[in-house]
Amino acid sequence: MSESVSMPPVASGEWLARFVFFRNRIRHDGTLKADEFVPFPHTGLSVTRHLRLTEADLWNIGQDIARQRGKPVLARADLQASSFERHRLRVIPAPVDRNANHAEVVGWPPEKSSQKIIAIEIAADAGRVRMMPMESQ
Amino acid sequence: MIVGASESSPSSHRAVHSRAMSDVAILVGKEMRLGWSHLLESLALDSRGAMGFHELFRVYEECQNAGWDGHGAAPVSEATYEQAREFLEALPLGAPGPSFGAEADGHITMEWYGGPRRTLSVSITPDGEIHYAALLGASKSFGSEPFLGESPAIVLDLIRRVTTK
Repeated sequence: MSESVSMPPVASGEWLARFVFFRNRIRHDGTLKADEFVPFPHTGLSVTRHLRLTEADLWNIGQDIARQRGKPVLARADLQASSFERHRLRVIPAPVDRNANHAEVVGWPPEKSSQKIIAIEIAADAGRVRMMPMESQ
Repeated sequence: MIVGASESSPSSHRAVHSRAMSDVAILVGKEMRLGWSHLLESLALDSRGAMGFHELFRVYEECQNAGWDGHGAAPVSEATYEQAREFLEALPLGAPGPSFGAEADGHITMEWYGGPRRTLSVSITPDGEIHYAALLGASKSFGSEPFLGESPAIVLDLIRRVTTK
């Protein structure tokens, strides 16, 4: 995490992107499986704030993460911070090198089944993913 | 010509076909091929059929190394794969088949999906525990159960409720 970047707190109405790297997590109708939102092994779930970013900026960040992970970015889900907060989770700014808008969703319960039911509800909230546009590939 | 009742493999179909000498034999050969086609189709549709096991094995193969997600994921172990295979085998014949996946903690997941708010997700652990969570409209159900070789009744009930139109 970069110490030099200070970011404002995440507002409930803020939009957050979760990039998707696995095809088998995208259902045939374009919605996401809960698997995408289970936070292990990290204490938080990584998301990117839309704050002051264009569509192209967002996809560029997705591609940068893809290069770091060695997996192609396929799609992204957009959710408002309130979708996490209603499950008593918190979204905190967590800027990293090359992504000042990085944030983490923290406060997950330790029990796996409790994490899963929250993940299912978040996936339902997320609706259909946005597929990576051809021009960004 | 000879059509033995015990000749039931695909290779024996070819043998029957090549030996067919009459219209009756050709008809019998066609019927046998059709029967095999239906059998394979039903296996593919059944949750315990070839397609389900193939998809499960593919998930295991793709996720058996640590860091398979490029972000520190735990590997899907052989023990987890075996538990998942046994869980799949234990489902009642004709039960709707799940789709498969893996979570970053190395658990294999099975999902039954009837819509965004009619969903059941089951996680299989290497030590024979299953964690389940289901959305059923406005209500939800979640918890953990030991897997002792038989599908837990609660999970079977949730599969039925999620997949019944």
